[in-house]
Amino acid sequence: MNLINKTTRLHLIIAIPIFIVIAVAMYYIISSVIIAKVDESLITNKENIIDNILERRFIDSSYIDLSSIYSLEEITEREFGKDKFSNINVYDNLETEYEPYRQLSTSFTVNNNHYELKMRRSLVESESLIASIILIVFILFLLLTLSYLIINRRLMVSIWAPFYVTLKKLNRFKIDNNRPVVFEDTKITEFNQLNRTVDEMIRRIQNDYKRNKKFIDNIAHELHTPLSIIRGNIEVFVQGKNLSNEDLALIQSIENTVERLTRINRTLLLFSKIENNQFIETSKIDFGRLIKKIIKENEDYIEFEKIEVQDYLKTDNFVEMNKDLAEILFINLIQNSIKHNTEGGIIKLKSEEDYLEIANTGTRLGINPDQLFEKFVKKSKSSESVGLGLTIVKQICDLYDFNIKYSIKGHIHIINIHFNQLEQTD
Amino acid sequence: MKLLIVEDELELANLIIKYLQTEKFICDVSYNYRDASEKIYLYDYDCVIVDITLPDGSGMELIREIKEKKSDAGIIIISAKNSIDDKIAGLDLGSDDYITKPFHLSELNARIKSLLRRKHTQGSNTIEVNELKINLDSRSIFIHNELVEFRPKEYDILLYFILNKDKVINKNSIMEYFWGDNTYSSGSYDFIYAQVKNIRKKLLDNNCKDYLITIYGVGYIFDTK
Repeated sequence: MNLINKTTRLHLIIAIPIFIVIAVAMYYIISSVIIAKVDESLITNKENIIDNILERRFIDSSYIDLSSIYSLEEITEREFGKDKFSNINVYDNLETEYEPYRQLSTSFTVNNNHYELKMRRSLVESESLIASIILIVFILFLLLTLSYLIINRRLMVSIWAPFYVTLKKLNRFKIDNNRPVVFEDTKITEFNQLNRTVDEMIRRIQNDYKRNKKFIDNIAHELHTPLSIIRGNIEVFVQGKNLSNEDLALIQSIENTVERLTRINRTLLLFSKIENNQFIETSKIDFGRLIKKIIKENEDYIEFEKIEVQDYLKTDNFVEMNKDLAEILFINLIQNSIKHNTEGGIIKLKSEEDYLEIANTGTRLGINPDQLFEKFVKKSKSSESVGLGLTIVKQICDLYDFNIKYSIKGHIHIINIHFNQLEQTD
Repeated sequence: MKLLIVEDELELANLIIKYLQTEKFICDVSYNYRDASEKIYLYDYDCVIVDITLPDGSGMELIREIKEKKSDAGIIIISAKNSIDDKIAGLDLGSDDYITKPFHLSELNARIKSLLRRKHTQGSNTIEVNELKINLDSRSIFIHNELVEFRPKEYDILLYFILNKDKVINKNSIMEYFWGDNTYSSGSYDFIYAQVKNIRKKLLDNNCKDYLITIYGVGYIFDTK
């Protein structure tokens, strides 16, 4: 979930319990304030009534609310009590329901006679008043919170803008692109710090990359030249007459070893180049068409081994990858399926939009299938196979997150690759 | 034909010269940029073979100098890095070919000869060896003036032999032809043997002398002596 949505969400989650607490508190506070007002008027009325009675005056209804009198009874001295407030529900015949009342009962003495006076006030209006007040305040709070959230979102978008700019620059960063990444000054200290740190990191990475590239280039030079010299010496030496078969065999053994070393060196170089991201450029490769081309280029060999090629490849299916790596990948796959095939065997090629399958008959694997893609393991009875071709294949697949799987059904070896590019959007 | 070899590794340079001299080339050598630059200025060469990584300068610069002199010399780049960028840059500057270390000397020889042929053809572009005549433009082979069918790869191999005639050719160098730069595991020798056998049969069937001789363990020689 993105930053701004999460913050908004958290704000809402915190606001809700606060709302509830405030609503409840408001209810109690307002209720008690209103009830206190009712009680106050009951007491004033009571005092007026009692004063009038004590002075034997007529109870003047102009300033006394007589309707609030519920009962006036004579009581014994024993029943004399202090002022008492209570809530009472009274059944109203007209409304056919119970209605809430506030009652004050009090006692007083006139000429040694004790009387109890009970007074009541209806709370119906008060309750609706409370409800209205709470609703209004609640709605105000809601509006306040919503406008706060909206303003807050806008503010956040504008405050975090530099952060998103930095993110975008990081996303677009390509390691072999020598251009420095430029960060502009922001008004926020932390973002400036972030930009400064990221900038340093990028410089360091670019430097390391450049140094690594140089290192690889230097190694290539160093290793290949001595190999050239050995090879050259052998070639000149072998022109001499008077070499016995034994001499020739020994010499060729050296040359074959140079051949192996050369291949290993070439492979290691490719490995490092891939790992150092030196094959960054990609293009759309019609892999069906490319494989058909490779088959054609190798047709002499295929014919020699009397292999039947069953071509179920579909063209116009594209995979996005580096052109050179594509050639290396598919050439090695195809040549592998020819080299480790049996005479008179079959190669079946199948492709779909995002998928390639190569099945071939072949000699049994001498090793655990899981080790097929491991480096430097001999694959089958074909001697001298250093087995680097498939490891290169695996490394290229790993680079692009292609899913490559090997399986075996009886005598048939199957390699399939899912290119996993269908769901990609720009 | 006069060649200039520019290579800073002494041993390698001397090996190249030794091999090429047996091909009747006249060879000069420079072990560094300065010397090469001087020689290019002073003399005319038919072909210059340049290692682009030199201790005191860039081989690419030498190529530029050769071109500036309006020289007609063929230029072959030697490099230890199989770098596409270098290849393209070199071709752009005007080099004619690019060969990666470690190479077989027979390979270098074949390329020099092909290059010189391309540059010095007057009339038809053919190679004649006794009863064999090869037309390089039409890629056809005539034995006793009769056209003989050879498959494309067979033609390539036979041409390679003829360009390196009377020299022992290592079977590994023939392998490189077939399997190319982009393979990382070893190839099959059986196939190569079969190809050479086919070529030999075609030659013999058409009354050609038996030039293709197998050298035990090592490879072949196209022996015209």
